[in-house]
Amino acid sequence: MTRLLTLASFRHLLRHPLQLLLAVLGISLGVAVVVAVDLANESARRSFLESSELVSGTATHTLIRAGATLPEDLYRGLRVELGLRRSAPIVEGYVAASLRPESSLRLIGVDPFAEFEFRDGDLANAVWSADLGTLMAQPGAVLISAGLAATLGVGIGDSIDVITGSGVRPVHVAGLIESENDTPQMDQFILSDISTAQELLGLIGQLSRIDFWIPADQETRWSERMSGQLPKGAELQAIGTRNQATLRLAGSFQLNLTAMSLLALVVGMFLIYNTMTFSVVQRRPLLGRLRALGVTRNQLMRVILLEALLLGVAGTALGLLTGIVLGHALLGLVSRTVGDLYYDLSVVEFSVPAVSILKAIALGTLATLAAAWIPAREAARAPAGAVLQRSDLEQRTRRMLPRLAFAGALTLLLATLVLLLSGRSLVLGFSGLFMLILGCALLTPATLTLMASPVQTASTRSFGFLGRMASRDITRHLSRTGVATAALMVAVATGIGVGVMVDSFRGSVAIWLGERLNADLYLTPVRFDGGTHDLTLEPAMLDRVRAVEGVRSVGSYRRLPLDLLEWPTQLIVLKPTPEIQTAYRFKAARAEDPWAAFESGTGLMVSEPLAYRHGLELNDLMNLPTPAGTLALPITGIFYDYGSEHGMVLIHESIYRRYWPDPAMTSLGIYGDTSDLAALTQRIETAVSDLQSVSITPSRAIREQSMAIFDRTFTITNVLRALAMLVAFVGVLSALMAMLLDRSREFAVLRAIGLTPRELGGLMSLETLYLGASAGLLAIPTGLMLAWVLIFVINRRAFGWTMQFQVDPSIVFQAVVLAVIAALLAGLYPAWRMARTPPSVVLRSE
Amino acid sequence: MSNTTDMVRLRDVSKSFEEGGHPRPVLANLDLRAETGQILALLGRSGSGKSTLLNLISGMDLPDLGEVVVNGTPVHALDERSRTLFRRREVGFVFQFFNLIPTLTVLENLLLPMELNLRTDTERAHALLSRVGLADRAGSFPDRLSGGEQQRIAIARSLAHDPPLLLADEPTGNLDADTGEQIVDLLFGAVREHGKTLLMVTHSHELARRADRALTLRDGALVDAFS
Repeated sequence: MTRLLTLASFRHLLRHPLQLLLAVLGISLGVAVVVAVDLANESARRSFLESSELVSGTATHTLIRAGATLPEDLYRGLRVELGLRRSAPIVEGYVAASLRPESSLRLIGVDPFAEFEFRDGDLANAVWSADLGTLMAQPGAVLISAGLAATLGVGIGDSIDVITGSGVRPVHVAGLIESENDTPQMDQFILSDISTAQELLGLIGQLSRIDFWIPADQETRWSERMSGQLPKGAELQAIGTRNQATLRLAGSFQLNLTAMSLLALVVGMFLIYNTMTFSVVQRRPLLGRLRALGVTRNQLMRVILLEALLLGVAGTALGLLTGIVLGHALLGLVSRTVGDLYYDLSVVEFSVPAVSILKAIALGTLATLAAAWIPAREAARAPAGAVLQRSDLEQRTRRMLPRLAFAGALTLLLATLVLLLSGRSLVLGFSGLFMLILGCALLTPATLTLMASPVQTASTRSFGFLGRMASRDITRHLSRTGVATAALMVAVATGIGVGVMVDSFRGSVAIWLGERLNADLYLTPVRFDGGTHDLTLEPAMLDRVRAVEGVRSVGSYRRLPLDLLEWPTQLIVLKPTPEIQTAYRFKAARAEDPWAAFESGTGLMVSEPLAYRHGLELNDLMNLPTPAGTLALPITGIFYDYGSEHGMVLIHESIYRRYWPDPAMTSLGIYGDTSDLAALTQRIETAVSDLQSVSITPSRAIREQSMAIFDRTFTITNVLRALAMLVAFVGVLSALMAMLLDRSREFAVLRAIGLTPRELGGLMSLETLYLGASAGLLAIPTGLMLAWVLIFVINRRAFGWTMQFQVDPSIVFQAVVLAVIAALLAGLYPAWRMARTPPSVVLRSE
Repeated sequence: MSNTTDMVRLRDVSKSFEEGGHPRPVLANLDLRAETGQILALLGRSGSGKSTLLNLISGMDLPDLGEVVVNGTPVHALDERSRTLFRRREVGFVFQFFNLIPTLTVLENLLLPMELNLRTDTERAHALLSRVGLADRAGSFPDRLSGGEQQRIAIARSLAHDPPLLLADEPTGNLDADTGEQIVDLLFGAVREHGKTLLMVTHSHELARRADRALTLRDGALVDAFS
């Protein structure tokens, strides 16, 4: 490429610094959003893995039993009789320091000698470096990190009161965990001897799991040798596989976040397309001269793409820096949601891996080039003679209208086919969504033309000759107004679509919560935070509560994790009272009483997400893994549930007691015959105070808390939506300003023939008002279609939920108003500039 | 390079444009010959097709029918890329509205056609600037120059890459009479000096009389202007 050709082109960009800045800003915002979400997701993932590695160290496999513990003597049998020397038992659970009850701590009890022989890791090394005599001999002796000690204000030899499932117990700091890495992850652990942990967690004679070091090529052999000794339900798992399965829990959530961020980038790409198109349009005379001088089409195309590449690089660099800052801010929201809903994520460290940076660079520059491709081709394809005439451009644009409209309709048709025929594919679902957006954007110029006549009539009637001029200008400059309107329409439609989806989801969840939480009070073990830790109630709790004055009936629930069909789900055990039965609304159920088979223990029920994910239907036989072997029961009902996207299996308490060696309950639902719930709560607290620490919460409070978690979860979505709107605003500002400034000469002529600055300002404002209003109005059907796809395709495929489609008119109204405001603001600077500049100055220049 | 003395040869050329869905014929079975070293003036009223004719000769457009041969090259038979490269090598343009590249300096405007032909010669560019009397404006941008000065730069640019054929589309149309006279003197002088062929579109009969030959474009065909 010739140096002067490149120079001629770049100097044009530098002569329009505001346009340049807005283009770079648009790209950088889009990239920043993608980077922020990627870093937040990646940080959460890495923190989980780091935390897991701190504990597992060099262990390769772990033996666990779903929903139950392992007998202590199993370890002896495996180690001594089978000869699995490289093994170590673990007892673990969650407690909290009474000084900081809101933050849970992971208590890990180990066998120091087994750890020394077998495991190389930070925590194992910490144990072996400690005063083993004190750790093993002194009851309640624990090790904590220096960071945690500083937070709690304790030192070696001090005592800490910890809250356990069975009450508050003292522990003694026997030493500090010293680690080379000094990561904040260490602050979440309390280490102890295995017997101390068993006492604190009420697991005497039990183990949470047994870790092994087994070479990969010997896994099958050892698994077969072990199988004869293992209790029913116990399973040897590779630690890496287990971690990946845990990470998959939050997969759909994180994928949706990523998709939202990509939507922001798509809006950014639209703006790049906008900017490059306007830049090409502005330079048509220049491009025509270059073509006349013998510059080939390919040379012109390469120059435009090179410009776009440099804009992309600058925008990406800025976006990367902004994204890192934004990611830091988003991390709290993401990790809180993941911790609330999916897996334990107590400590999250913000990390910026090189691969994320490379991904951002590739995405930003490729997105820019992709968006600039069409304008570059447009610049190159115009015939050398014709580019010297402005009117020819508009004629060509009008000639292209039918083709554009056809392309738009075809794209919409393809989008429909993709959405209908793509089964359960989430990726194809998103592809269909993006095609929908593109199709509507392509139809925008033709729709503007169709709207022209009625708009012109109304505008003339309302605003006289200014109104007539303003409305005519929209179609007269369609090569520019079409693109600007489409870009604004896409952004506003995205806002409407996401807003309606979130609102519909919220409405469905609110209704469901009202139905499901129909007890007056709920009694649970004390929880330290909103986490997913499994805590149980003392067996005597149920009878004790039933005997309290004012209690009409009590429903008991047991909730525990269940690995089903290689998918982590939840097992819910209950004994359904009539009140509990009314809390479940069925999507599909046996025509006769669906609870009959359930109560007789000859059937079970599943939640809608579980049924969707595994293609389960009514009467299908389900094989449940239990400690006593596989249990096969038919599905008698599929119920709506928004509590977990991973799904639930409901079985009767009698079945549970038969197959699981566990008499515990997770919570009680209390139905009172008094309206004075505060007094009832007091009486219940008094009645059970000697059993264990419990939390008694009115259902109203749980509903409010749940909606707060919901709103917190969708804060991220709303933040991303706002950012996408910001990207669009910047782009539309850039596009409309460029459009108006490019017509300086035309406006100067109007001033010269007698239009006052005020009237000229009015003309510009009317033009931008019509553009904004057109974009806003066109965004309504597009946004509603988007919402439909998000609710009935994307969310359904990602989470398996059915939601009610609910349109709050205020969402639509706000979006349209935003579009109009954005467009009006965009016209302010050009109007101000034209008012200040004498027309003679503009007309004199070339 | 052609062995004949014809620099430009148009044979039976027709061209029409679509306007409002109907074809409007502009050139009809037109023949034209311009000899090497000749200055040929083209007259005609507005819209008669003069600029169209120049576009066909330069390869910026294609005839609907007929042949366009320039310096032995059948321009009508070339693809778009080949026509662009042909124009780059063989044609120098002077436009009514100057059409300098606003984001390049005066010197850079002259160097551009040289660079496109891979023959950058800064000394030659300076010499051409001196020839048109603007050696001291090499570093200026075009918007700092008067109309006359810009047209002089345009003439220098048209000669920079040493093309055999110059096409001038109303070179004095945007200038006052005195300045226009100076420009024509400069243009004709340069053409004669370097042995170029010049096809010049003009409204001015006085200017046309100064050419070696003058033709009028009327009803799509060329006739002698002053016969």
